[in-house]
Amino acid sequence: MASAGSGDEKAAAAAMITLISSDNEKFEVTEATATLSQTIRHMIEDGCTDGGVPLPNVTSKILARVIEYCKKHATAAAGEEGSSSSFSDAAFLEVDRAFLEELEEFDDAFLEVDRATLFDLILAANYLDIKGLLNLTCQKVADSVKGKTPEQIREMYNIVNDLTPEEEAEIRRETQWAFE
Amino acid sequence: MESSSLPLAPKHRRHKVDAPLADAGVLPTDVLHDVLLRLPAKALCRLRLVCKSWRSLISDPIFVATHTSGHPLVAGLHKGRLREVHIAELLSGNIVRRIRIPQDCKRLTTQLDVVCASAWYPLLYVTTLDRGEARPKWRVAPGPAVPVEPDSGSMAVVGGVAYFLHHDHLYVTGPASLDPDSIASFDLAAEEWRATPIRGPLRSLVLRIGGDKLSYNKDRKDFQLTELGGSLVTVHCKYQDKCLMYIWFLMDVEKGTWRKRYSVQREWEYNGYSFYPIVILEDGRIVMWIGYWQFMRAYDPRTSTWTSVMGSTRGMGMYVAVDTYNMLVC
Repeated sequence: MASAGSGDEKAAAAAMITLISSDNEKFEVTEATATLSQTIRHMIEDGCTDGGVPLPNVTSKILARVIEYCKKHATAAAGEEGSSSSFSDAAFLEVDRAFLEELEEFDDAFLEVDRATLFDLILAANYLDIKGLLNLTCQKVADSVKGKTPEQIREMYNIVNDLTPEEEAEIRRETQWAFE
Repeated sequence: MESSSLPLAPKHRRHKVDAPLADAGVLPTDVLHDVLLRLPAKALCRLRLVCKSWRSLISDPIFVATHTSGHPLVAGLHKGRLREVHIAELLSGNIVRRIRIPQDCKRLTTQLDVVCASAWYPLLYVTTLDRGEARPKWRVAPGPAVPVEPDSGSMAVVGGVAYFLHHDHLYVTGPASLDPDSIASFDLAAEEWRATPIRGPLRSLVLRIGGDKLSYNKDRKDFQLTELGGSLVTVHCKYQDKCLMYIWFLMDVEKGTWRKRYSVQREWEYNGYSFYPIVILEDGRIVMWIGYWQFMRAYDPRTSTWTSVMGSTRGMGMYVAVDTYNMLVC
């Protein structure tokens, strides 16, 4: 309990960073939350965060979701760092497992969005260089693509088929086994 | 529900699009790259049909190399009545391809665009898979000048050359100058045997007993040959401690230099059964085929611990690694 208390104090004392979305909305977050983004981490290291960090590629709607993700995962990262000295291994493993399950549930719920939002989240994660979020969202797209036929993919993503019938036949012939 | 699910306009199929996902939410190529890398080989091959930009992205050699390291493939020889080679994804165990092979084939070795399945000396079957045919044609290659041992753990294909250990039991019929530790090589493109054999890293002319000398006996599978991570490797067991196994890598084919990279502590002795490495995983673990149990185990060299990998391998005679490159790029 003591260690959890000191963690809160540490968080409260931590520096706050202001993020500014493309539609000029300001979000105040802790440094621990903001630095899940490698892009922002580098800006903090270079001392260019005074007066806020403008993010012209990210709308307030998407930024709010990204911050929600970072807050949750920053807590997880802090928990990992502080734990080894405060808990016995066995106790920590118990806490760890429960927390990981909670985190997984959070991630699953987080991904319950329409495709446009999912793509925007990927673009934001890519731009802000948030590895965990990029991983999560890319895997979601990969899972949705996995069982689909080329026709279904084209329809899903509105892709125009620019292959000639000869080229199509060639691809089918080259890897016939993949179509069996 | 979703506005992007518009019907396709089939009359405009020649229209060129630059963006891989020509949607309102367009994914940049590097992100699409990241997404596609997560797909299994079979799904990827099908998705080459989506459009030109997807085809070129999926066929890109760098993409394929990255994909292979994350999704290693293995080729297994099915022992059933109908002889088949199963190419499966190591981590999921899903079979991505089945290839029929000649009835008398007992062994196989797979690398790059070549599958080489073999019966007993002097018959050697060779096929190339580079056109992705469902039923590849097999050719009988010329017999070797000296007896070779086309057995699991006694042959490997690296860089278009098939390597074989010499056959112990037929020494008497081979030339007097034959070095039992040498490795015969067969050029698969030219389909001919190379004149000069390669010397293995250790010598077994005299079976040394006692001391710390390494010694091995090919009959007991203490000296094996396989391919690992694109290199030709030999696997040796210490004479006095059969649980200890060394993996040597051929560093320079011309000079014949070898380097010992791994010392492996086996769980049991497995005397007389094939036991050789197949694939090195991204996390550094080495996947080994254990002939005695007929399944694979992964060895972590940092912790000297063993873990299970790939589910059921029932009915399979042996496994070797296979390069995805040819499966995708033609």
